[in-house]
Order: sequence, then structure tokens, then C-alpha cells
Amino acid sequence: MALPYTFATQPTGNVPASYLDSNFAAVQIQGTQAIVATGVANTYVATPADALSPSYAAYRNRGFYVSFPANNTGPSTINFSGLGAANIYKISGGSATTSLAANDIIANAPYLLVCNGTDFVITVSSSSVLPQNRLDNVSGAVYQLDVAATTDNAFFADRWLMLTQTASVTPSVLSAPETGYASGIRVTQTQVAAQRFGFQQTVESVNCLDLRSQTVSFSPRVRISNSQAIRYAILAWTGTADTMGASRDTVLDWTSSSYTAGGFFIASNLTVVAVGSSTPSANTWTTLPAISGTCPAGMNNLLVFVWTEGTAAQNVTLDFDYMACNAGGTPYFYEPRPYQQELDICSRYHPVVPWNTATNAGGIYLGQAFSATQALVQIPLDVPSRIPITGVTVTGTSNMNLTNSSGGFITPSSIVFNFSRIKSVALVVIVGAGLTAGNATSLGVANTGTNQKFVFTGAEL
Amino acid sequence: MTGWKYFNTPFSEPNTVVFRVLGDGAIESCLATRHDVQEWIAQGNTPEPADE
Repeated sequence: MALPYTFATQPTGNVPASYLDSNFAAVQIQGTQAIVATGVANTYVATPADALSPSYAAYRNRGFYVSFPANNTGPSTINFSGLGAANIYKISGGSATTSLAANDIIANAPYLLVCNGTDFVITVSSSSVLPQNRLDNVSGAVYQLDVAATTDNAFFADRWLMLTQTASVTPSVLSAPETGYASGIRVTQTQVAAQRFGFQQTVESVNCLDLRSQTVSFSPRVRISNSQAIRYAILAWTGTADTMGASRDTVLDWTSSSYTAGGFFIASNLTVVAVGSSTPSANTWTTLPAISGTCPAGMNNLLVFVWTEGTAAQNVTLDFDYMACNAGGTPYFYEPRPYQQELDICSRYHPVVPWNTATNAGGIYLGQAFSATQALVQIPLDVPSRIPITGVTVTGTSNMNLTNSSGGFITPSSIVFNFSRIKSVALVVIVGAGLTAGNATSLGVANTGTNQKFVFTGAEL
Repeated sequence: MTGWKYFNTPFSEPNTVVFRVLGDGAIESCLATRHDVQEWIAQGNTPEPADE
């Protein structure tokens, strides 16, 4: 029906009242009502000015703009005009009757609900407008570093820095630690003497400057073996962006119960945005209550830190399988990123070349001998590093080989960093003898090799 | 774990790269300007000279 229906074409004479009815009916059909719903989480009530009648069936494919009084925590219903509770569905996975998940509805945000004749469908998923998680590798799925005992101020999983009070602890990987979670990390307090420990991540400046003067929230999902208090914090680095250096160890005094800069935390260039404490039940996965605060205007890096508030006895384990940190006062738990995407992101900070003949990992890298005992070999990086890397740790050198000009293999005695750009690294490979200066060579892994890798350093945060 | 030792090549300035052998046999090398190397030097240590 084209509007206006009658007035433009009948400027004179009486207009039948039925034409007005038709016009109003057309407006009602084509328009939508704006509704501020009431009720409580998951059970909402809508009282539109133009009450729905006599049943939902009369409103099939009709839309309503609705805001809700509270976030939902699971499947939800809405009762329009007292017609009865109707389900609120979303379109997902090829189904238009998918029940809502927690936080699909955000309090006071506008949504378009369309009636399907029986229930309602949110046609715009709330997930498309939610703030993104600022953290990487939130479940520890990317574990390229694969270290054993980890000392204070050392990385153990990609993007995660271990901080310990006195001595090393031992991280390990958890596979499918609970329903709905594909991976996690366990940290075992292996020292006889009890100590505090925790893990920290620093968000790169370019990925958090928009949060200056903004509210940020954080919630870790953890499991501890013995039900002791877990502390967690949002911190802001106000020193030079991405250059924390030794200050990366943000703990000044593990024994302090004053969780302030200059108390528990280092005093310089660090702002404590928020601190929380919670004591989960023993061996129970627990999403710790959200903490939030306003980032300082001078923030250059955002950090999160989770640690044992008191000392942990030997063999206490602290696990995590999700970390939620985003803009706004509510942290959201998202589906994890695809592994390859997460790996690429982590490789910006932790370029690692694993070599394993069993899995065909690694590559063959070309170089040139510049003496009888040394060759310069170029290692291209799959993902450009954040900044040119400044070092490398090489394991399994004895399982690598360097070709000589007659097609033979020479086992390196050492491999040392020389220089780099963000897309490649030049290493010097040293052998006892057998190279010819000026000849080409290549570095590969011997058939027996299973545990070689280059861990490049200097781009981490 | 050994102490830091300089490693010189024709492609970089002398005494800009150091290396050491870790307890598990891995070889760690980096620019001598890295903060942990500088802290180690500040504690009174000196990298071994590079091989001639």
C-alpha cells in the first residue's frame, strides 16, 4: 500500500472515514513501536502503548524496538501486553530458534525484536556490538615457548609472564579442562618453601590507547587446588609506551597487603586501576567477580595480573582457561579465536620456529659461509615481529645440520644471533670445519631431530 | 649455565652481541644492550671477550 493513500489523489470532497482507517492500519503495519521493557534478567515484560491483541499470531513478522532493564544470564522470555511469556531467540548456526546465551542482552541497549507468530527473534546479535577482549591467548592455547620451570619475570605461555615471589614454578598445558573450554594452563608451585606467584599480560600500546580515561573491566576464570584467595588487578603503565623493561616485574613487595603503587606494586609509572580478591572452592572452575575502573589519561599500556594472595604450599596448582578484559564495566566471555589467528597474533610478540621431523615443522633456511667455520643464515619470520627481535634461544643444535659445498652435512656447534629486521633474522651458524667462504649453504634439521626450536626474543611485552 | 661472552662477526660492531649456554644445553644470544644483560653487568660482571 503506497502512502499517502487518499489525500494526494482526492484533494476535494469528503474523504471516507474508512480511508483514514486504512491509512492508520498501513502506518501500524509498516512502523514499529519503541518499548522500554521492565521485569528482571531473563524474564522481561513489555507494555507497548498500542497493546498487542488478541495474540502473538496477529503480529507475525512485526518488529519492536526494545531496550531491557538488565543483562540476561541465559535463555530469556518477554511478555507483551500480558499475552504470556514468549521466548526470545537469536539466529545462530542456521537456526532461528537458538536460545540466548549470557549477555546476549545488554541492559539499556536498543534491540529489534521481530515476532515469529509465537515467539520473538533478536535480529541483530548483540555480540556484533560488544567490546572486544583486549587480551591475547586468553586460554593459553598457544604454547610455543613450552618452558619447564619458570623463574620470576619470565614468559611461560605466549603473551603470559610469570611472576614469582622467591623461586621457579612449573607451567603445563591443560587440554579441554572443562566443558566449553578447549585449553588452559596449569601452574604448579613446585618449591618446598611456600611462595606467592602469578601471571601477567601487557596489552600493546596501539591496542589500548583508546581506553585512556575509559572504564575497563576484567574477570579471570581460574581453578585452584586448595581454595585460597586469588588476587587480580587491572594496571596501567604510564611510562614510555611498550618499553617497560625491568619494570615488567610490577611487584615491589609480595608481602604487602597494600595493593597500591608503592605498596604491593612498583611505584613508578604504574597506576592501579582496580584490584579484586576472591576465594574459589578447591578444584572448582570459577569465574572471579568482575573488577573495573577508569584508566588514567596518561596510560600507555594496559596490564592484567592474577596471583595467589597468600603463599601457596608446594604442589598447589593454579589454573586458568579464560581471561576477559574489555572496555566497559562488564567483562564478556567470547568464543575463542581460531588457533591459527591466535598463533599469528602471538607470533608478533613471540616469533618461534619449531623444528620437528615427526610433524614436518620448521623449514630449510639459506645462507652463505663467510669462513671455514661460520655461515650467515637468514630465518624469515611468518609474522613480522612487533619490533626487530634482539636475541634468540636455540635448543637442539646437535640435531640440526648445515650443508657444505660437496653436499655433506655438518652439525653446528653453536648458533648465535647477529642482526634482524621485523621480517627476518640473521643468525651465525658455527661449525668445527668444512665450510668454504663464499659458498651457499642451508640449515635444516637432521632426521633424528624432534625437539629443536628457535625462540626469538626482544619483541615480547 | 655459563656467563655471557661476546660474539663478534664481520656483520656487526664488535662487542654488541653476547651469548651463553643454558643449563639444558640451549644457546641463548642477544644484543648486549638487553636489560637483563645490562643488569648483570651492573652487578659487577663482565662478559668474556670474544674469540679471536
